[in-house]
Amino acid sequence: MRDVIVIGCGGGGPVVAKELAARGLDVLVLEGGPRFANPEQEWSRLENDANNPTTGYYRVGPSDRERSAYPRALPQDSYVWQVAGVGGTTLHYYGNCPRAPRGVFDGYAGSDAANYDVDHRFPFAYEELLPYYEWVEATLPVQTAAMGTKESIFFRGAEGIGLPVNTAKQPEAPSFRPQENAILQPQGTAGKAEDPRFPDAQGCTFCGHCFQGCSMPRGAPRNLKAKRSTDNSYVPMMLTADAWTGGRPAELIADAFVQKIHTASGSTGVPRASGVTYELPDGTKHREDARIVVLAGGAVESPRLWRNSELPNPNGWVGRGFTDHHLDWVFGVFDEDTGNSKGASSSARADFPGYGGLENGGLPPGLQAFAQTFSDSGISGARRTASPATPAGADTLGRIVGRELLDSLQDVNRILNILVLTDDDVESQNGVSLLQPGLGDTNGTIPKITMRHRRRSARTLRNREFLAAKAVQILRAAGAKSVHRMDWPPLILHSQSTMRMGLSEADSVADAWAQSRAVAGLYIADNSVLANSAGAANPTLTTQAVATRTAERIFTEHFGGDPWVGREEPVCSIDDRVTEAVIARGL
Amino acid sequence: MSRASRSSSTAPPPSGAINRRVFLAGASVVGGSLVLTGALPKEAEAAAVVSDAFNGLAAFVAPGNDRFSERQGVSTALPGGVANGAAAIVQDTLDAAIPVVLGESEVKLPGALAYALLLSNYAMQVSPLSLVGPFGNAFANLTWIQKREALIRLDAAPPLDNTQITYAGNALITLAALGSFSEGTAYDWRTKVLSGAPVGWQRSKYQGVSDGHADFIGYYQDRTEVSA
Ligand SMILES: Cc1cc2nc3c(=O)[nH]c(=O)nc-3n(C[C@H](O)[C@H](O)[C@H](O)COP(=O)(O)OP(=O)(O)OC[C@H]3O[C@@H](n4cnc5c(N)ncnc54)[C@H](O)[C@@H]3O)c2cc1C
Repeated sequence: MRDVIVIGCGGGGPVVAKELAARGLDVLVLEGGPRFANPEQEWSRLENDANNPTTGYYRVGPSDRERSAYPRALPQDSYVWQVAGVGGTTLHYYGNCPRAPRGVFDGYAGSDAANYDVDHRFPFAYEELLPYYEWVEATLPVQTAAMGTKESIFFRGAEGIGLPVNTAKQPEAPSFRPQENAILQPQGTAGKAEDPRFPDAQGCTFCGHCFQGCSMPRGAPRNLKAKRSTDNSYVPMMLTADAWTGGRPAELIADAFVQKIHTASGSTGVPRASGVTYELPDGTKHREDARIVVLAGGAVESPRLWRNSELPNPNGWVGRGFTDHHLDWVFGVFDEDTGNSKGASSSARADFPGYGGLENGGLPPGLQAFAQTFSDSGISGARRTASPATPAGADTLGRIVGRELLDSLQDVNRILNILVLTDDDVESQNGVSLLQPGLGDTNGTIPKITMRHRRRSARTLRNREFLAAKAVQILRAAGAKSVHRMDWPPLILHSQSTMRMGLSEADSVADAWAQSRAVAGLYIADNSVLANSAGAANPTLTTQAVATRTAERIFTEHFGGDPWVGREEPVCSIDDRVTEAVIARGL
Repeated sequence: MSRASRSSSTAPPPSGAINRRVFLAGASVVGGSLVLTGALPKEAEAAAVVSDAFNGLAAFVAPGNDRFSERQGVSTALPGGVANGAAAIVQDTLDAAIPVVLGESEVKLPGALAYALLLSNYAMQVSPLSLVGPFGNAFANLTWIQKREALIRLDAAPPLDNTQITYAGNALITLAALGSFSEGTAYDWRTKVLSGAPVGWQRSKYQGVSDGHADFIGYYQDRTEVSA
């Protein structure tokens, strides 16, 4: 019997595992995807090789790339970008770590309070989460982003439309700023050389491959790679907890897909989580039992596993209320070098509390072409579809194809992209369900992701139009010679709130401590437990702060321990003790 | 690795890429009741139905100096998506992505052939004459404007709503774009060999994979940290 089993080793799971390993608990982490032990050798950083959704090394599927990816049913034009593997979708991520705006939390009484998703606030105040934000920020660590060419152009545009600069962690009003991100600041030759090597180069080398995985600086120990995806930060810490604190290393089993969560009858009549069954690539199934089970499979797989395990769903909210920031993409073509394919992918942002945010997004050419051809508005210049999107001041709306694609992509480094992050509402129509029984892969019935994007709430659609127009203005003020709005269909990179925590039992799956209401001893620690879209803040920092709070709760409630956040000093993931243990153990 | 309690040990169900037999079995459903193209392609013809469809698509998305681009009436002096291997990328992706699940019918279709037949069906709606031409898929025989019309119809009224196949309406073009400007077939992931500079990189002046760039300017207003 373990103390704790964590299902999923992505953005959220390793946070709980690291915190509880540090307290000396016996923690088992089960990850359904591969463990990339030698990223410098394993990751080509080529776009199709990395990012192809079905054959790429970053996909949702088994380690063996000869075997099929795990299918998802998508009953609408849409695309889901997730990764199965140690690090989960943070292997892809850009490391941006804004805190969620105060307005998404309970008790907020600012003058713009009505401007947020008022029916689905976090079940606690911002001040309650603040120490956990600070703890995670110190652990990753989160720093102010360095500036490359593309950021300097974004800032020029933001200044040009009269936005003020924000010099604090939290935006209180419309403003722009360098990202606060989990990418180590460049030191030495990093960002100054084409062929940087550790230790002369430390931190971000400006290689431009965040999306294909961060294995730089070349030669750096795993926990000193620039991007703080969990494989480089929390996972090394959870595996070396004895070395940097008096803890006990967590055990990690990769390629171990959990297919069922088991329950036993609990003392209060509510069933209690008792363990899991997982399958290894050789087809063998294994059962492990634990006092506490933590579900962290991500916003798609967590509700899927719940449903496939036939756990209770009394109010029908398991899988419902999917938020995805209803992303959109606006880009400008410039006469000058933009450095689009270089540097950390997104180091500049603008915030519009109550509406959402904008951030720049640098891409290599294959993904740039992908982004320019994905649209819900049909082909640019041809007749329109029924999408509610407008050009929002852009020169074109819709897919850019043929000669126009060739023209706009003549030089990938003359493009500046802006990603629109909409503060979108929790809506019960959007969610993850199961396809009909029998249509499954080895891990059970396939998840079906429904996103009625053309019928999002009035506030969501308003916010998206508002932000797209701001993006167009920033690009024009920055000097773009042409500006193009894509109107993406759901391109699900940020996936939240499908197992949401909430104030009301009627529309939430988890209570304010992230414990499932229907199954005792079962906590949720990934993006799915977020109460709402976190006001369009990139979600991972908030998930990690909530997961830290959840870990503390598990320790105090079930293992008789004391809380530590706000009382102890956090150890940073680049601390020498972690580095020495990583090197000594060949991690 | 501890595997405390083994509960059972069973062989995994067959997995892996969809094989040709399943592929064609799926096609019969497409041809017979859904795509309405009439006769089913024979296995040899099926290969051309698929590769010509996606080469025709690659030429539409990123025209070049190949015969698919010439046929559509929009071509360029330089090589384009076809030369970058975009068709193979689309085909491999779709074959590995699915089976496509058709509504409540419990029928599973393999990927690429299903979508190739879909393109052919939309092509014939736009121009019945497109059946006749140099290519084994009607879509590849269309002009660029006609292809655009076929794809507009696919966008506007996706077939088989509420099935997985609708996903492809949008994904077909974007996958062809990814295949046209990424490393495409210049890289073989099995051997890990990149042969030459991909066409897509040349067309977009991309320098290729690098360990770093000298693009660090400094910090905005020299601020390296913010207040809490
Ligand atoms: C291109 C891109 C850029 C992004 N940039 C940012 C950014 O800058 N900032 C930000 O905050 N967010 C960003 N995100 C989003 C970020 O990646 C996610 O918020 C984060 O990874 C979510 O963490 P998670 O734990 O919910 O899920 P995941 O990270 O997806 O992890 C879930 C893990 O659980 C495993 N799993 C699932 N089911 C099972 C099972 N049954 N058994 C065993 N294992 C299982 C999966 O294989 C996976 O590894 C980005 C995403 C993308 C795609």
